[in-house]
Amino acid sequence: MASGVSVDPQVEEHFKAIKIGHRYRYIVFHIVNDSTITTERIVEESSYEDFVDSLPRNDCRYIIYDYAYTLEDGGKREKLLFIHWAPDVCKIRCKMIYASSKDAIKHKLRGVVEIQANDISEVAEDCIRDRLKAAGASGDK
Amino acid sequence: MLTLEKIFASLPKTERGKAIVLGGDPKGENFLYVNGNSVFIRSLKDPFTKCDVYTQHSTATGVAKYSPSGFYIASGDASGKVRIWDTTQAEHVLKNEFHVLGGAIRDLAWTSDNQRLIIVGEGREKFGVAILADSGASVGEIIGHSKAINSVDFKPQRPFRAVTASEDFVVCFYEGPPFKFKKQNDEHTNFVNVVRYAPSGELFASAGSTGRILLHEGKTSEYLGEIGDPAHKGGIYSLAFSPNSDRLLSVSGDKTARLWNVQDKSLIGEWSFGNTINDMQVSCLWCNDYVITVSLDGSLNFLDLANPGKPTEVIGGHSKPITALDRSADGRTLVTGSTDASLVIWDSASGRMRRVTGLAHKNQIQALAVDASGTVYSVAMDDTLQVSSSADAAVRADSPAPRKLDSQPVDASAAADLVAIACRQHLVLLRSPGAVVATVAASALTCCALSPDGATLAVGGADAKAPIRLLSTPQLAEIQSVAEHQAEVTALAYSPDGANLAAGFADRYVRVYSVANGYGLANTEEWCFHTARVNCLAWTHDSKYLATGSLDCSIIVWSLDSPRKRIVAKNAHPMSQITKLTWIDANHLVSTGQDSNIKVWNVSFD
Repeated sequence: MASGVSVDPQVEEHFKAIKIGHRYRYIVFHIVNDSTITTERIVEESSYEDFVDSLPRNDCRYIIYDYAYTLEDGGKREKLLFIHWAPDVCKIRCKMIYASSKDAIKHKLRGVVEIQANDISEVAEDCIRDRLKAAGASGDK
Repeated sequence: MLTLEKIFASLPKTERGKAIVLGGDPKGENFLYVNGNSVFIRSLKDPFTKCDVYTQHSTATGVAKYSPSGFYIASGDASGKVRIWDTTQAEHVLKNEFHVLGGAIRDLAWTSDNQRLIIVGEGREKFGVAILADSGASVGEIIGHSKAINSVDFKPQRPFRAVTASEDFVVCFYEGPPFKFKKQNDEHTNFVNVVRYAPSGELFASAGSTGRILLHEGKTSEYLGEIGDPAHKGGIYSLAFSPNSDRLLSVSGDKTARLWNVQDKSLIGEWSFGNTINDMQVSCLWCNDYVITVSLDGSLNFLDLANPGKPTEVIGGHSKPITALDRSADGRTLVTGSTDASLVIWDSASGRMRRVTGLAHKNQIQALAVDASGTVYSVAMDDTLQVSSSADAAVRADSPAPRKLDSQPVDASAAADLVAIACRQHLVLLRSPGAVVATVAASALTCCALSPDGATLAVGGADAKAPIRLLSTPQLAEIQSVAEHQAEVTALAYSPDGANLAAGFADRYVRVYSVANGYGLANTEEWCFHTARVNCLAWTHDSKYLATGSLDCSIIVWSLDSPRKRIVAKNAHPMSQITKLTWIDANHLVSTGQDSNIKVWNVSFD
């Protein structure tokens, strides 16, 4: 892809497991040796807050999160979030590589809601809800 | 959750030599005026604490008037746009917006059937339009003037008539609808500022810079005669008829308001407001039993018609952005300073206020601090320092404080018997009531905070290596520097128990440093939920919560015990940054904004 970074075939398998089987709560991907996107961690069960706590504060990541929530009218919804985590404070080189390789991994992940987050306030649960609401209003992407 | 409890609203914007227009509520509950981009819907019964603010205009507003039904307000702005919006819902749903003129709108009038509007003001080739309120379609031509039109009014009954008054000395008369030019009245020999129909429709009165009030017949525009000879010694800026048309109130640049009997044209009473320029009267309104005039400084004067002489109630405050705020130790008194160099003492419960007199400040108040005895230390952009008493609302002549500082002051903080003043290039430490204890040179300071015991002074600046420095008092020797954060520090505040120091940064972060921990971060949670520069900080009395205000118009209350919990009030001052915050008791937060409003919030912490 644009950055020359390739995607490990295992990534797609893990994604299928979370999309079809709902087997995990979230999966964290990272770029190894500036060349391959691989799975860093798979977490089967976790609260959203613990997930936010687990994010590295000065490194980038891609995350697939199986997010279940309840609407104001009581309706239950499930969305797969694709979070592009790129904190402001991390190195520019790192941010560049994750930004330019995003398309490569996104290609393998169908039916996700993309969320770009540059600090904790953008992965906070109320912020995610607002974004899902906005995405829902303009047709699911 | 933050619930708005009271609002000490901004005063109307005034300009010397220009009339402003007030709008009365047909139900007699509210009145309207404008300032900045906002329209103020202020309560007549409780004008001190109740006001609704409409903030949807994108440029400076010029006039707002209720429709005769009371269901809509039409407001015009400097770009020539008029917005017609609902009054019954808190959201003020927009009904229509029309771009009608090429310049600022100065006045508008509704017909009694709520269907038609005439909007007048500045423009390029036309100075007024007559439109349908529902569609914006034209219902006539407003012609006959060669300069900006100052005022317009409709005959309240059918057959409809309209009159306009202009800077070209002429009063034009129209018949309609559709409104067609009928007659030009050129009895005035200078700017005509105002024209108003009597509610009975029998006659209309016009007045202007000559100080004369002229009466014309309502249906034919025939000249009927003059009231007074002349009515005022200065230019007349506004007229208001009584609801039964038998009396007329006029206000003038000669600093008086006069009440006239329309039938025999005799003077019934006079109110005089003082002898400074700020006492000139630029507007008046007669709404049911309430009679209001506006002084040049924006003060709203309530008149009692049975008791001429002096106004019975004067509502003061600010008409320019508020830049400084502090409270007395007991929280009962608030002190605010604004960009127009005025200092106001407020009663935080009732909203009643007094302006501090005798100030040397000639420019924007930069900061102020109130010490335990209620003495106010205020610093202004013209480098002046003034010590005044909040109890007397007057300057303290006994203070040894220097009048002039060596560089521009930016912040002030008071604790124990000490007052620290941070200036761009130096720091000054005073001991009440103003004796200088120490002065040291510094660079690029932006804020300062004294610890509650007065032993440590924290100063913040734009120095990326050491944005926050700690100094000992009274020598002002450096103890240590805090934080290696790249951004400029915009505000500092010690918690009342002295355990923590909070800092707001220009890159929207809020950080809390623990004093006991050698000024290490008090929590690891990132407080980055503002979306723009943090302007101000305020701790609750119990030191458990921190309120922050920002350029992004929002207020956030953070909890120190559970750093992940926060209470957010987005758009706390809509379209206007939060300039200062303070707590007056355990759960009441006061905020001031660029919009010149002071808001009192009730905060529930769960």
